[in-house]
Amino acid sequence: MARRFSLADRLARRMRRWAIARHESGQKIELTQRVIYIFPTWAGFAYLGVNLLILLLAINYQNNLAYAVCFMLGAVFLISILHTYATLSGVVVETGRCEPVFVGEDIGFSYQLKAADRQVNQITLAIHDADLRSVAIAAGGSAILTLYRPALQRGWDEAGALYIETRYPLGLIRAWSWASLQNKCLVYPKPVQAKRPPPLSPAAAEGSRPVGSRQSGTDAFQGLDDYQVGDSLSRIAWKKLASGQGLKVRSYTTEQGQEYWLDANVWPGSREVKISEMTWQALQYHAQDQTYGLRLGGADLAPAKGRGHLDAVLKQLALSPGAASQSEDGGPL
Amino acid sequence: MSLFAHQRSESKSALPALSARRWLLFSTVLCMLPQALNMPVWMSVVSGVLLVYVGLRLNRGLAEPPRLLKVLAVLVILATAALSVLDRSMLLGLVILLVMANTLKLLEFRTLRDAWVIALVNCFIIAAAYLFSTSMLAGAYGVVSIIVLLASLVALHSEVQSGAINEVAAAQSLRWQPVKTAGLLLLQALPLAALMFLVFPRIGPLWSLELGSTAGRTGLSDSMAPGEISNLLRSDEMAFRVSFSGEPVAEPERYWRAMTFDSFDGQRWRIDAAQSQSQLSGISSSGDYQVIAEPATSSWLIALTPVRTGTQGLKLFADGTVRAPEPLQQRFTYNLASEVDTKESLSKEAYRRYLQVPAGNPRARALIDQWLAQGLTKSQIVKAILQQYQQRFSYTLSPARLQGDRVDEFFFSTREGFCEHFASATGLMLRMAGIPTRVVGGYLGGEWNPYSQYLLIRQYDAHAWVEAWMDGRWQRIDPTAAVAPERVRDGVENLLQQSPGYLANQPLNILNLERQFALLAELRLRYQSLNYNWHRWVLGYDSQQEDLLQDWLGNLNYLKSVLLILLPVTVVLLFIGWWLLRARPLYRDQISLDTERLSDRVSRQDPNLARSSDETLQQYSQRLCQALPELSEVLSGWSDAAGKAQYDVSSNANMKHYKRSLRKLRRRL
Repeated sequence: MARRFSLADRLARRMRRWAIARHESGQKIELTQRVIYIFPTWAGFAYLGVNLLILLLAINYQNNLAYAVCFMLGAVFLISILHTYATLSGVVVETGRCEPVFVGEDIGFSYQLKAADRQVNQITLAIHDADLRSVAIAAGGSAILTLYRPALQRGWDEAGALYIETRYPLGLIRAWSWASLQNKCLVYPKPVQAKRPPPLSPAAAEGSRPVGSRQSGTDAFQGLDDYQVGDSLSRIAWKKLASGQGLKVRSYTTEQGQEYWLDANVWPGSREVKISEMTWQALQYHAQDQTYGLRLGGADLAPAKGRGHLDAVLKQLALSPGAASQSEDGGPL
Repeated sequence: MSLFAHQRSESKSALPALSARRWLLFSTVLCMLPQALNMPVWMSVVSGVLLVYVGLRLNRGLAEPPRLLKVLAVLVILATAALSVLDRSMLLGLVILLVMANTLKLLEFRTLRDAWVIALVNCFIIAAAYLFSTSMLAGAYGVVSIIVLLASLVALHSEVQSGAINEVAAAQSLRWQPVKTAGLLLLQALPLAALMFLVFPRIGPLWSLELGSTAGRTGLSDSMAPGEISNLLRSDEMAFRVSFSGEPVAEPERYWRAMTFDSFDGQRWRIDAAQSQSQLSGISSSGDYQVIAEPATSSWLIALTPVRTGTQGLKLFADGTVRAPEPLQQRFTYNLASEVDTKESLSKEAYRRYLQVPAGNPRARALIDQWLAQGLTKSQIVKAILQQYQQRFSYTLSPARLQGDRVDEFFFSTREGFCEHFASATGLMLRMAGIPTRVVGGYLGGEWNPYSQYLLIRQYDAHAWVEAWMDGRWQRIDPTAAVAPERVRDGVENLLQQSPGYLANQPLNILNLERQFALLAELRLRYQSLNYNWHRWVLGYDSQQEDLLQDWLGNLNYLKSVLLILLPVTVVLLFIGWWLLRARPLYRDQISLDTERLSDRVSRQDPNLARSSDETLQQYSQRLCQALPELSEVLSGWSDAAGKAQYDVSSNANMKHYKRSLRKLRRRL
């Protein structure tokens, strides 16, 4: 759908592109006069308008005290430009670590703000499509702000240009900057449970082992253990928790020597469906503490288990080509 | 899709912080209070109740009123407010409406945008309030209002800092943070504002306006019938204040002419053929004297006669009186210069006019005819009349009522009265004697304020006397001086202390009290002096501006005036910018900062006493004790207190103790 932009909108976008292109991207930016822009807010213009009315009042009634009010408010406007600028000036913004998330969850892009040798009473950060967040920082202190936005696509998600703004002290003036900081976050595919049991991998068949099965026989439910930090969330017995019996995790017997393969070559369905279902299955294996491998069009991971392995598998799945095109042709990967 | 569009709108719809809403409420209350006096009582009560409700809702978290109720309240109040202000002046009506609308807006205020609307309306109300009162008190009140208004804006645009070490102290300091910031802003803005105030050209009104009604103001009226000035005598309101560029005019010469009456109908003296002779041209230097006139019903201004030049725009009349272009709705300041020596002339037409005598008053005419038959000269007739007054008449503020042939009755029967009676009778009788005469209305005397060197003329100084055309010039004759010379010499105040009519309107008058307490009198003079300077330099700055700028800067050309504005503005802004952005050493806490300052101070006397970077506060204090044994007691007291305060930052008592010990130490240094 074509959308029309107002002139102000177009100007703002052009200004933003220009501002972002002006400085090189990196992990860190210090806000100096080179990158800080400053302009009255709409409220600031309204304030000037009221001030003009007061001036008319003073002129017409020849009232020197009304003149004084007018000049006082006008001078405060001028002074507040300096204050607003000083609030933003010298602030250092650094990108923080970003935890991978699944599609459908919220990515938290975090930024660390360091104040210069004066207090920052209000500073606001925003990135595209995320709620803006404001914070105050003591002189010489720092604060971490995390901006959340929904993860829509698997793969790397770039935070994009960071918008940094302050309107302190009076909201009459807006000082802002655009920083093209490199802040990217890995988005895992959305886990989707397969309607059919996962197919046997040809490799597994060659090895004449029952592979890829998730029948309950292979991961027999043994009982409930107390939850310990680090246990997989998917093993928590939520029903027990809900019924007030505390945090328990299901434990399964593992049949030693059994290996599973997540093999895209034999997995049915279109490419994205495949990837989502394999993701779900990988999480399942991890939860059951199984040994599993990944075959994904050249990017193969030998069977293993543990958190590190899961991350590696999920990363491979997230970054497998085709994510950008989102095509549903279902060809082999 | 426009980037961040939705985010900005979100920030506007977010409910501002509680502290910000409290400040805004406070600001609105401050703006409203002075107007509460101008508003109809019921409106003041209603908005008071509404504001209390808003305050309770903020502090106690009461539920929001139902929407229908709010809409209803808005409609009812605005409609009745609009109706009830119809009979007031436009501006007052507007201000009242704004106040009411703001009160209602507070009731249903949700977003930052609402907050802005309220704040901006408050800005306007603060300025508009000065159209109703320009006293020093109002001035100070306005400053407070502006600070609170700015504080509410600061609170609206600050974030609460989280994670402070001492949460309680942080919250405490945060409570006053907005006011401190607002005060700082105002302080920094002051030089710029003062500069703009000084140099901004004062131009006339862009369109004409009526401000309130002039009813109820006292002042001279445009006609004079004996008995009328006495109303003025009951009022101690200020009428004029006069300052002189050189020596003040001598006391017996303080006859302030306002108007002359040329036509008499037997009862009342009027101004007849008063036609503006010329407009005064602007004066290059300040005049001999400057007058600040209080608002009055008429546009007549007072002057020591005759006038030569004065403030531009004043109307000059043939009889030497001056008039403002419009009635004095506001305080009005003007300069005048008196004529030293000129030839006066009287046209034939004017000569005839000043001799017009109404029919009646046969006994006065008979007496004059008798004197004329005796061959008395003009000046002898004047003398004879004054002699009559001196011998047979008495001065009183509550004379018997006159009827019929008033001059006859006054001159031959009642023989008592005040200046109007004497002036009126004298004027008529001199005309009968063929001497062109006019009655002058104005003021006599004034109270000299030694602190600010000005003469204060009150309404009760109103006076009437006579001017007669003799020997080719107008000569002043004050018949009241003949009957009550002390009126002229000491002023009406001293003469009439016991008179029942005098100041009868103010039973608890401060002037009455002052006769007993000399200190009170001095305080009053001091206050008046301050008030006078306020009027002269702030409220009446318009008339000073031209001279002042010329004095300071000589003739201004375009380039000069631009430089005059730009240069100081740049300097001030650069200084504030430097102050804001300057590199400041960082201290984790107040105590280390204090220690650093202390170190700076003692090392000025002895560089060895500076604190070295590896010294703890305690070690440093011990070293100082050895170097300055006479201070050892306060030093150890200070370091102990500092140690305690450092280890328990949450305790206010420790911090207070520390501050006390620091002050003690600083005093001894």
